[in-house]
Amino acid sequence: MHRLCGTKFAEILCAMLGILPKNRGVERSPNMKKTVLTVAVVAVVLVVVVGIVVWRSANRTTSDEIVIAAVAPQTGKYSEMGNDLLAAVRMAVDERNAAGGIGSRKIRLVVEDDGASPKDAVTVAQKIVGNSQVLGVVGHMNSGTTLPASQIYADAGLALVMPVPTNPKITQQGFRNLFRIPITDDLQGPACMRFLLDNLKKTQIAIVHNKQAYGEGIASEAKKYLESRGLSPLNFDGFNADEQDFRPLIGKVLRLQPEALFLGGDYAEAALFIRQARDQGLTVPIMMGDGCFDSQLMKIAGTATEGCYVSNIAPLTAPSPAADKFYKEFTAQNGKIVAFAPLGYEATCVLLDAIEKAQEKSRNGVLAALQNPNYSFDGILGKCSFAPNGDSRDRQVFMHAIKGDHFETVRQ
Amino acid sequence: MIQQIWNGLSIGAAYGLIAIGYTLIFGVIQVIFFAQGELSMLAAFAALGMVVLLSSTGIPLPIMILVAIAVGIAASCAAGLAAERVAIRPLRHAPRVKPLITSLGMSIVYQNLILILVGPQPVAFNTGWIPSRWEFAGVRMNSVEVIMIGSLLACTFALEAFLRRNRYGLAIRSIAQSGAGARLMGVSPERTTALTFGIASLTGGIAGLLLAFYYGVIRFDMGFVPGIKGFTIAILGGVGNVQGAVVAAVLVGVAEALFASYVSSDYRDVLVFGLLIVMLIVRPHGLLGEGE
Repeated sequence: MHRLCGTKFAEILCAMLGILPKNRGVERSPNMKKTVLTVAVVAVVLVVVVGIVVWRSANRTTSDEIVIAAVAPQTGKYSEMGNDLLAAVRMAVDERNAAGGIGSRKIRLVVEDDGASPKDAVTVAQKIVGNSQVLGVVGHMNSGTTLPASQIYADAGLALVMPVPTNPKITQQGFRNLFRIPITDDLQGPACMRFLLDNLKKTQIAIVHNKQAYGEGIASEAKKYLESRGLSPLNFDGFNADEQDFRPLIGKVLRLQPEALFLGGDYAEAALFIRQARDQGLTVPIMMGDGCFDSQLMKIAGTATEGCYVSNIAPLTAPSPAADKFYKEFTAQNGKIVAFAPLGYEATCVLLDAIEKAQEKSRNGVLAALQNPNYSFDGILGKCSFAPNGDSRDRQVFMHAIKGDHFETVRQ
Repeated sequence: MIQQIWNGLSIGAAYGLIAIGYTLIFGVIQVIFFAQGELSMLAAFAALGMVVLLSSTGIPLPIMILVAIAVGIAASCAAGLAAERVAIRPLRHAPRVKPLITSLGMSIVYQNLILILVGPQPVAFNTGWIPSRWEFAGVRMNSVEVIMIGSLLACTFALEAFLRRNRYGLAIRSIAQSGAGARLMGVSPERTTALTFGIASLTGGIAGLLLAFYYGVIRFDMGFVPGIKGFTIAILGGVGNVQGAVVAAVLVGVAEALFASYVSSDYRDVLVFGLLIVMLIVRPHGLLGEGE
């Protein structure tokens, strides 16, 4: 009996490997095929289960590790900005680990990619929330992705330190887990308008936007500010974000004879818009928000960008001696600062600081530390503290003029 | 006003070149070949690649650009023929919905090919050639816009002559009329289908290059919007009808430009797709289409 079993097993094994000994002349009976199939299925299931167990145990955190997550687009058209941001997050974590971590516990960073897509952002947020070891999150980069994802972090009571999103709606949802590093569009839009009105002395202003959370948001705040000064924009028109032909809209703007134009959108659309605007004879200054703060703008639109201004929520050059070290080291490691690296660094430092200050190293503990009205952190961009809704207090906007192929900070 | 009509004509011409591809292929194999926009995109990337390769060799600019254009069109033709061989021909006896889906698959394959090779970011289409601009009767135009309109006219006339006079052109029309009948007359459906894809890729490639020269920037998904517009135009004109496609292209281009400039740029696409719905209800065979 035993021997028979052994032979049968050998046969099955041989059959599976396709090396059935010829001299035995054994035909695969239907019954045997079934057995082969069963064994194969069991084997596959076993391999998968063992694989998952091994993978999970390899990923398991030892209790002396502190886990934080960071989300930004690593793919898609914002990947350059996203990777810039994540490089700064990694740098902050590495520096902290080199300095001994938090209370001698090392920090582990989990990085996720939302591809700048609101849909993927939700999936990624659910994944992060599901990992019970994550104590706090740095992300997301776009307002359009942060808005839907914030609900999920709020439901899980997970602190979200937002390095870049500037849409004011995010912190108007009544959640208590959001902490924003940059200023909001309701301040950036007006700052851009103030610059056009007071520095460039323009009053006839046209406004166009890309109908996205960020673009339309900053444009409508700009419009509100203009109205608060007793002026009104010549127009307020949207265009489709994947549109390439802007000439009809430019024609409309031209008919309005503006002295300046404000464009709420991202660099990819802005580059096409500016190029076609200059081509169609619109020569007035064009002002844009931080979404256009990317040197690709000049690469694509070339000399057409002359006379364009871009605001940014972080300065391109170190604003203080304290920030000098970061700017130098980051540039040495990564070649250059694309746009938001200082904000990514600042956000990560804030989160790590909050974890350190937390009485209890748990999600609730971290949240409580950040919600403390007296919470304050001295970072590379100055003092950082949060209003009850999570917006940062005391943040500035920095204006840049485009000169040739680079941005130049304009003193106001 | 005239400026916007001119703008509409030029963008309509680019859409029209893509629509010709849709309409020709549909006429022959009754399949909407969805990778048409991606063929345009591939032409632009191949041309830019050639420019990058040649720019260090010191070849005179006009020759370099001509070579780049030739390479771009060759690339779109190669990609079109490859798609036909891989995704369409094996399914020639299958229900028509299958090649429709595989053609969508090919468009994703081509997009991802560029995503992997080049990346997702927009790339400046910098050939060193700066189109000249001038103003004529208050209308600002540049040489690319003129070439766009010229190309559509040239392609339409050449194609009409080819389809009516040339024996291969006649073969295409015979297959379009009756596959079985044409086969009985000794026309090879495989070869004729391949030829049709070749022509469709040619016009698609030209459209892609013109768009790249005009916008000065190319991206892996640049073929998507023109592809969808081209598809709409092909349906508006009556699929299978080249003249219908050209007329519809001009109408859509101009209507879109005037609507976006004088009514609302927010609802520009609503106009185009609204037109499509109305057309499908009122004249399901298209502007110049004949009823069956």
